Amino acid sequence: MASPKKTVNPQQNKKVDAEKIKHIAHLARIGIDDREAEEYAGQMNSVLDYMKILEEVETKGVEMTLQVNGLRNVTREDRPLMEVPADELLAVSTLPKIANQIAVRAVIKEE
Amino acid sequence: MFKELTLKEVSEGIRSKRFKPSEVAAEAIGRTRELNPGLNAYITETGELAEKAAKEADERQAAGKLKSVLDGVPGALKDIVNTKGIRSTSASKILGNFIPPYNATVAQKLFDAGLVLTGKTNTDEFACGGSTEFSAFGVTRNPWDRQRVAGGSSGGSAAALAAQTCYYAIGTDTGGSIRLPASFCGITGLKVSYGRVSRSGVTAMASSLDTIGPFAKTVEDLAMVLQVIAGNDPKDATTPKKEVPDYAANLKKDIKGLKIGVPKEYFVEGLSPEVEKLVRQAMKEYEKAGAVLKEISLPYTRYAVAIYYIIMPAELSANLARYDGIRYGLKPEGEITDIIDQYYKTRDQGFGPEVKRRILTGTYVLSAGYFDAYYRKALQVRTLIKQDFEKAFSEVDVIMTPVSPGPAFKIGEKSSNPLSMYLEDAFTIPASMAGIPALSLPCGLTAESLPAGLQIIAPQFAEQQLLQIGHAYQQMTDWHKKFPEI
Repeated sequence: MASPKKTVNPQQNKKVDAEKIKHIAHLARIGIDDREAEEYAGQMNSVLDYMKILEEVETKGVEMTLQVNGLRNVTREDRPLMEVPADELLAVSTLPKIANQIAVRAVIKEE
Repeated sequence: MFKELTLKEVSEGIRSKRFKPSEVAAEAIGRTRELNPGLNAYITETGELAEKAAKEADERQAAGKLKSVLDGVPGALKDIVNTKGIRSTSASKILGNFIPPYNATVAQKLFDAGLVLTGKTNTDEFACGGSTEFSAFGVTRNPWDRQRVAGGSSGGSAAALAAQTCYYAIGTDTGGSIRLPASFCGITGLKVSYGRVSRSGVTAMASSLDTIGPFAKTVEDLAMVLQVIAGNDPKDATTPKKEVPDYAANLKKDIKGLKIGVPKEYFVEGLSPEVEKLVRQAMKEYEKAGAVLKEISLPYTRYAVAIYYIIMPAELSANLARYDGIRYGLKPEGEITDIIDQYYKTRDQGFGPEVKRRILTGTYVLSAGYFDAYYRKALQVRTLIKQDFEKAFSEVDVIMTPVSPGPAFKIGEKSSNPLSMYLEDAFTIPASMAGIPALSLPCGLTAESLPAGLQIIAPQFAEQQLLQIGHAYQQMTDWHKKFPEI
């Protein structure tokens, strides 16, 4: 099992604190409270500490692997492959519908 | 009693008209109703639909017009496989009332083949977990010992099959989510090569890693299901136009001279001595049949868990951004002030703690300033892990390892410590990173009567060879015939 034998440059990663967690949560649009922020900060730090084992690996000049089966530029005719009636799609939303559209809260507010 | 039969035996019985699909279904539905309250293997039981589907299969049987070898056979689908008109929750509160208006390709193919659906099975929320403890619908209990987890994330599918409520079950495997529960529940499971089975309509977790595959009682049964679900799908651009061989017809193969690689990095401190003994015994069986064992090295193995918990959350955080409560999802409680507040509340109330943890980690590693240190680095190490396997397969035909460091653990034992839970996947993640297929075979019971699993890893798209080698083991041993007494 992969357990870290040594850690390299333990000071290199700044610790994630509750404030940072709240900022990330805002970016991810998740509302969290102070207690959760503290808990997640502690857990994320232990996971990020574990990731320091990657500093042992020399990766200079190594390509990134973003996908594994080598397919490139897969194209197809531009037509829908699934015919789902509009009312069935709209029925999935819990929000009110107006003229076959989902009504959402105002995005731009008047100041 | 049909429950002791394999999928193949049920299929033969239906085709030779020894019994009717509705007779088989009645027992499967009855067992599901009886056992599910104790096991929580299913989020949604679909007994009534199954009865109807079985009656239709009866008619086709009588008319001699059965649709496939799977026609009339009860099976289960993991609840992240979207099914038209049937609630599909992904085990999340955010999709708790989601009734998809379409079928996933894998579901459509199985319905077209005559699936009698017993139900939608439990999983960790959005397949995020290794124990099915992180389901919004409660933990699935292991049929071998109800105080223990069934593994995850496809724990419901594994438990449903081990409890003999169905004859095959579909799961998904991103970092071990079929192999681990198969091992914990003593059944046979296949993680396919990335792209072998269409992901269209299956809730996305980590798009460069997600695969869909079957659980069954035997390798022969897996081959029958894979035959139906594999192949190119225009709706999933990552499925190559590669021929689907007749897996089930080509299972018999002499394994004399087969070269088996035994990677030393998988037999290390932390591996339970009991599991190691059972796995080594299984490899001895192969040796007795004429295979050759060779110690090999996969030096980058020890970095696999670390890069998985960078790459997977990164992809997951992007995929789960779509759950904004607008097109689908939860109606949040409380006063909503504006659109951002709606996102906050929907996602706060809709996602469970493990999913939030992973979204936060993913957002962090992708953020400016951390991208190079984490995400780029992880993708580079992924290349090195892939190359490890390529080198190994130039010397050996397949690789054998344990599936997990130990047998099923107790409920609650690891759920509060994310890292210890993540390390359960240390032996299954490397093959996921390389996108190659791997089989999980039951290979014995520990002193506490808990199943252990042998993992066999093969080169990309070598499913046929993998199934042949797994089948050979089940011809030599009986571990796959052991089921919990319930």
